[in-house]
Amino acid sequence: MSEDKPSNVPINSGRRQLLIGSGLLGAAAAVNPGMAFAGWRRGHWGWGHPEENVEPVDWTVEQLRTALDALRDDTFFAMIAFGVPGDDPYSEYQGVSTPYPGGITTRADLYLSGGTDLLVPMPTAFMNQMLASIATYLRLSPMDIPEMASEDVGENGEWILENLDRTFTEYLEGEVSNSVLVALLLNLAATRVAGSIDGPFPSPFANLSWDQKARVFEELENQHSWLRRAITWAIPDWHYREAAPGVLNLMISFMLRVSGFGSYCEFAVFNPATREVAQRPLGWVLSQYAPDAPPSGIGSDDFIGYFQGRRSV
Amino acid sequence: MRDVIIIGAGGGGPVVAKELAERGLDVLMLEAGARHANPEQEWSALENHMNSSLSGKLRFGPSDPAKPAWFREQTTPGSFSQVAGVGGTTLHYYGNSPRAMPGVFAGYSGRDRRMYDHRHKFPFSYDEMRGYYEWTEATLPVQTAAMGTKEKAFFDGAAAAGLTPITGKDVTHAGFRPQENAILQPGGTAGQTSDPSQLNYPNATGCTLCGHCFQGCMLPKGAPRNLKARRSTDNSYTPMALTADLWKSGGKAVTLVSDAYVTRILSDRRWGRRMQKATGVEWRDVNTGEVHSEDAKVVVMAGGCIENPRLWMNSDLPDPNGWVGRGLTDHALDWVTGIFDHDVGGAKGTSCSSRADFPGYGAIQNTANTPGAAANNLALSDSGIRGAYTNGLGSRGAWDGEAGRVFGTELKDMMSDINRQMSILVLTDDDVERQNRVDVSRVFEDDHGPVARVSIDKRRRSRRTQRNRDYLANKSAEILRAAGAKKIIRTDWTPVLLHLHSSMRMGDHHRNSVLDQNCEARAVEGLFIADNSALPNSLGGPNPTLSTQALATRTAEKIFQQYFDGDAWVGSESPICSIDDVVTQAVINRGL
Ligand SMILES: Cc1cc2nc3c(=O)[nH]c(=O)nc-3n(C[C@H](O)[C@H](O)[C@H](O)COP(=O)(O)OP(=O)(O)OC[C@H]3O[C@@H](n4cnc5c(N)ncnc54)[C@H](O)[C@@H]3O)c2cc1C
Repeated sequence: MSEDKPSNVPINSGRRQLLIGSGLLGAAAAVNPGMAFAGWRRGHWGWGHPEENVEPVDWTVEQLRTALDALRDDTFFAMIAFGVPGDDPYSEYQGVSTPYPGGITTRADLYLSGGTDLLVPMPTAFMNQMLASIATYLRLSPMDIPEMASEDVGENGEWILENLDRTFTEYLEGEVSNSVLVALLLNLAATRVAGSIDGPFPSPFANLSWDQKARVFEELENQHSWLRRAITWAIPDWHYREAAPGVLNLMISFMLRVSGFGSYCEFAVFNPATREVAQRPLGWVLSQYAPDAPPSGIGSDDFIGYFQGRRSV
Repeated sequence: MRDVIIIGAGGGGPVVAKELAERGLDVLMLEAGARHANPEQEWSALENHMNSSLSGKLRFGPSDPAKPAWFREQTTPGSFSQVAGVGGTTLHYYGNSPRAMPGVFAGYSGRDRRMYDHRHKFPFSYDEMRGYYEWTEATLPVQTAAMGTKEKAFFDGAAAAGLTPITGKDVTHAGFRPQENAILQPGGTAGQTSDPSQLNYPNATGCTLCGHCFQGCMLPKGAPRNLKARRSTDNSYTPMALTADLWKSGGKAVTLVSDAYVTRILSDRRWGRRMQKATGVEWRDVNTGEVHSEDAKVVVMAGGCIENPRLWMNSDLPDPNGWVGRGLTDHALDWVTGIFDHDVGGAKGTSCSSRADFPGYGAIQNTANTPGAAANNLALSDSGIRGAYTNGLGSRGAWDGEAGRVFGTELKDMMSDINRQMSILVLTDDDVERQNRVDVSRVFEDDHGPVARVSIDKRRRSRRTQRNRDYLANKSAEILRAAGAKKIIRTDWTPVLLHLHSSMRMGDHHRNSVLDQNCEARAVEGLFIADNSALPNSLGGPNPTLSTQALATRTAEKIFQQYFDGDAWVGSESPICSIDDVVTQAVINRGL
């Protein structure tokens, strides 16, 4: 712990649930084990075995950024496996896989996160107010995660959470990508749907089965979903409150739609210098499209004639 | 001072530009997006490179690819497919150019007259429109589409489902037909070979059946710009407008400025017949940020259904009856896909060359798709994920199981051979409804002011709209079944905003329309609208661009008569076709 330890503000139970349920704490611990504390291990809460002597680290915005980017990548891998499963670990873990490659092999996750970042020019204040609103909502309507989210986590735990929250607040004041926001929301929804989620991945969403993932989206797409209520619950700015559901819709539906497009288009093997694909995209192989490409065809011999010989009407 | 300033070079703007340039007026056309002067050197046949709405060459955004696309806010689920640039959204379009249903015009007395949106008709008759259709069809030109594998499969299915062919340009009964397309049909080696060395112009003329309409048409290779196969306005009307002095005596070439975003319509207040008078426009150079303005006798808005209301509101123009931006229609599109155990040409040939029309309900059409688009289209729904949840929808009908998004292994299975997919796009005859609207965002702003905000709630559409959509989805499934499909899925799309109409509608009454019978704004003198937003309704389902272009031709005549003391020409002169040798020579001479 550094000498000039900043004074943290004690955080309320809603904020705690946000930090834990969104996968933020797990992502932090995945990057730096010092963030694990008092009975908490990645993706798993235990009772009664406080690890008193773990020295918590001082946590910087840059470290948090790295952790969140990793969480985003993990979440988006899991999303692509959900949409276009393949023979990768994420597909296998969700219990729905195929013996040949899927969207992850085409790096559709990159397509999805890059697209999400460009999708909507979110004002920083808007994003902050949305997240703050969720925390307020969670305080009143807690999630079904173990008491540790709201109860005694020991001195270390308290300090770590406070530290994390302070760093997160600072982080949110800077450049925050939409894809990170979406990953946090997706994980929060996963925690909400499935409670405490154990598994090999830092992202709670990635540790769900395919059916559970579908339940997450069922919840997210529902016009009366708790997340929709939560993001608008306590947004002070009236215009933001009015716009929030539309923005949420946009991001959720983009996730669902673009998993397919990203997996089957040429994105991964496009060469901008030649405006051509460097090799036949996996999506084309999977769909048996353009067997002779590259290069892309400029014509075909598919002309049969005119219906009933009619050239004009 | 110009005679006429036109805002937007998409489906409608260049029509007015060409028609008035031909009459010798001094016309300035301002386009927010790119010029696309050298497609063969800049474009590709690849769907993400060209079509990504966020970063593609053909997007609604600035020509500089490093800058983000222009955002629009949506309050309800849905997505856009619109393009900025010379050609506008016709850079994407499939060239389908059917006429509107006669039942949506004033004076229609057919037995099915109550089947249409009879409160929002064209304020003039179909007979009057026919003359403008003929003029526009001859100019583009519109031709009967050739048949390939997928068209043959569709016609066989439609006939097996009991439909009969429609053999005229006017829709007289429910039936199927080849599209009337604004596409030059295959000539020479086109359509006969895939060998690129044999497909250069003039060995190949017209459509080579490459299968990439969506990516912008730049073929056949080496053809002059006005002889590229698909008649998007960058290939048809714009080249004519830019060379009017060369192919028409007394004509005057249009001045075209691209990367020019109009941010304000200038006007004088007056309290006569109309509340204001348009005097010019102010625009921003998208690259440098410089602001310019020019005056004109007449201003024509042609920025499309979403940008026109935004520009109107950001210009503080009057909206006395509250109809600005209201009554948006979108054909309540839907998507029905059949999987076959044999090749039905799912990714082959023109994007769309066959259709069936159902007066009073709308139309359906068979489309070819590249793999990304096909996967996208199967997942574009708010009816949940098939087999998992329905989000309160998930309707049943002639398709298999519940309607909804295809996801996971089912998506992968359906995508396992794209040529065994046959996809049908449903174009609903949807109602003009006040709650479907465009206004401006309270949260999002860009360099050109508050952005447009769009609300079109699929779940709150009128009963007639929903009934029509279900009817057409069922018809599509029946045709697919009759064609031999082994599995049929209805995706039940969220609104996909690519056929947009009537957000600044013309009408027969000052209480329910922005524009009068001449497409002049009721509240602003000298301000006309000449794009899809001027349409009074959704045309009964047929694809909108030909009707917009015919109406824009009529509007050009009205402008010429009312403000420049000229005479009408449609009906008394013959049109010059955009592929006429005089135009080709003019295009080559001007180096276009
Ligand atoms: C995939 C696809 C397929 C389609 N296929 C067909 C088809 O087969 N048949 C058919 O009839 N229709 C089709 N359409 C629809 C067709 O593209 C539109 O009907 C047509 O382009 C509409 O013309 P418009 O002039 O209203 O708008 P647009 O074509 O969108 O043009 C508006 C133009 O104005 C510019 N602009 C906007 N605001 C400003 C401003 N403030 N300042 C300067 N410029 C501005 C825009 O950049 C744009 O270039 C298709 C559309 C898509 C997406």
